[in-house]
Amino acid sequence: MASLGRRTFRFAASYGVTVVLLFLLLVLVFFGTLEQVDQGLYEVQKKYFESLFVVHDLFGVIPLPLPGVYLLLGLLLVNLVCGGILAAPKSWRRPGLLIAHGGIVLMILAGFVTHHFALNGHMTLYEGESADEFQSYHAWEIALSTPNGRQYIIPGSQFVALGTGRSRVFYAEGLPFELKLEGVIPNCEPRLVAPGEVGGADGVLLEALPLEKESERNVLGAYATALGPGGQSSKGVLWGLARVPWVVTVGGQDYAIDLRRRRWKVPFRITLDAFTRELHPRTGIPSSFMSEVTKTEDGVGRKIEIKMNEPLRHQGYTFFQASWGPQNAQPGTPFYSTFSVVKNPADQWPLYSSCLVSFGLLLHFLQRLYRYLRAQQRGRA
Amino acid sequence: MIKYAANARVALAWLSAVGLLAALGGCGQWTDRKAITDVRDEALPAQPPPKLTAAQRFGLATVQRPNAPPPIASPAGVTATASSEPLALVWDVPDGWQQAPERMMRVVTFTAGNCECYMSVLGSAAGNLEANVNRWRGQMAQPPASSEAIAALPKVPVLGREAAMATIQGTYTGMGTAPRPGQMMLGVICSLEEKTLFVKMIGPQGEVATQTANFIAFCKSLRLGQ
Repeated sequence: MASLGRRTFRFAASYGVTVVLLFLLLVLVFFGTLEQVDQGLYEVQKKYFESLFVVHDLFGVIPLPLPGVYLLLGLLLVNLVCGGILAAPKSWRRPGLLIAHGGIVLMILAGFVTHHFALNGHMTLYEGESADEFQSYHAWEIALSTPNGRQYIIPGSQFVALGTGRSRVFYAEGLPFELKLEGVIPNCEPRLVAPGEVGGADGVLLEALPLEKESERNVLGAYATALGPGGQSSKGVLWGLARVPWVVTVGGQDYAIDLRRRRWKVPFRITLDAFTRELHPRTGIPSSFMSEVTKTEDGVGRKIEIKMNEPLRHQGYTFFQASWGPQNAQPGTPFYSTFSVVKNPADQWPLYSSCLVSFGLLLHFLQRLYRYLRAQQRGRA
Repeated sequence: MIKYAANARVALAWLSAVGLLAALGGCGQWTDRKAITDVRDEALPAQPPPKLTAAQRFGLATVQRPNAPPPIASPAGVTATASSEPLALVWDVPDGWQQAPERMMRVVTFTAGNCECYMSVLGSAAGNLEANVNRWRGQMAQPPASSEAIAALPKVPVLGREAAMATIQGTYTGMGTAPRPGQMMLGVICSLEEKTLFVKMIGPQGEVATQTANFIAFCKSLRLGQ
């Protein structure tokens, strides 16, 4: 009787497990694609593709628990390593399939690294403007700014789940007060508190709105209380489209608290010098568009063109030409250009993976073809 | 059958292990207190942000109407007072402007094509000229302007006084709306006794540019009525 370890390994390496995992992946991709019509890409991605488990409402009524794509790909990785690499016959005569399986392992690892470590956002500049940071389409953060320029950043992952009845107190060494966050609403708008109405803070109440299908249109709101020394406290409202931060005074000093889209610095500055577009003849439809930018780093500027399919890649950051406007610009109207900015350590891994898989399969098929032709020749002889 | 049964037991053991790991991974992460670990040193802004109430920060504003509740003191200690008596104004409507339905916190709203022009009156604690111009610049995704630049803004005669007029281009983000690029804002701020009058126009750049003369004429036509 084989040991438990050996049986586990054989099970993990089995074709049956591969078939089941691939079938479940197919089912989840199918359900996720259909649900995207109503829920939007970002929410579906979180629910089906970035989760360990998901409950899909079959026909909108029957709750069907399923493993999430994140879990399935993790299991597929184990299955592929055990069955496709460790248990596979290794011979110089048959390296092709090993190489191809290695390529698929690299693809799955690329997805893992991208999910956990990639940054994704945008930078929008008018002609003549410059910036050295980009901001997220979806994620939020709270920035506490002190009078001497120090900023304490609370990422959204630490407070977006603080719905009704939940709160969390944030503190930091060097900050003379603590910040309590509660009552977070993922999409809301503020309104004045009516006379006699209970609730809200600072005369304003946050009214919850239905979630938008396009996640970037949701505006987060939260109630915050600055807890100062000696039991002093000051309650206020944070909202993602506030024009200026909430300013609290502690110990005679003003501190600004701002709820904003998550921002990341880049180690250089981009200045949009000019944006040009070409239209198809006798139409208003753009045929091509291009941004001429200056990348300034350590005081040295370099002129670069960013076009569709020709991004700027530098220091691990990639700037894609994403969009532009205004769309119906009159002659002389200044243009703006939006760059999609990505920082992904596994940016090129899918390309390497595709090359490995293609090479491995080509090698395997060519070797099979060679052996077949040789056998045919021997047979005739 | 024995083989399949054995595989089923192994599969069950796997799934249980994965489920347990997932559950354990989710446990122990939630705490009522959390230390802030991301600390940065940033350049100080040109202007410190103004201390405003939530209503002012969100553009809800406060307009004192007869029999309105008493002034609300904000946590920052700024008391948003408003005029105790409404300002009776009359004006000349420029050609092509349509009066829009009454909106909360506004004296009057007009539309001209895709442009919207409205007037509001706030109490004297509505912030000074610099704070308001930079607040508008923030709405238009523009950096704050210097005191010198704001002092040099062109003036328009309104109600017998010289009122500063700001012209700002950029991406406009209003209250509860998605950002709209390619916009232009015209704004006039007139300081009166215990009140501040705002006239603002926002819309696509080209259209606002053609309405500038009408906007100025409207501001000049404001007068106190009976």
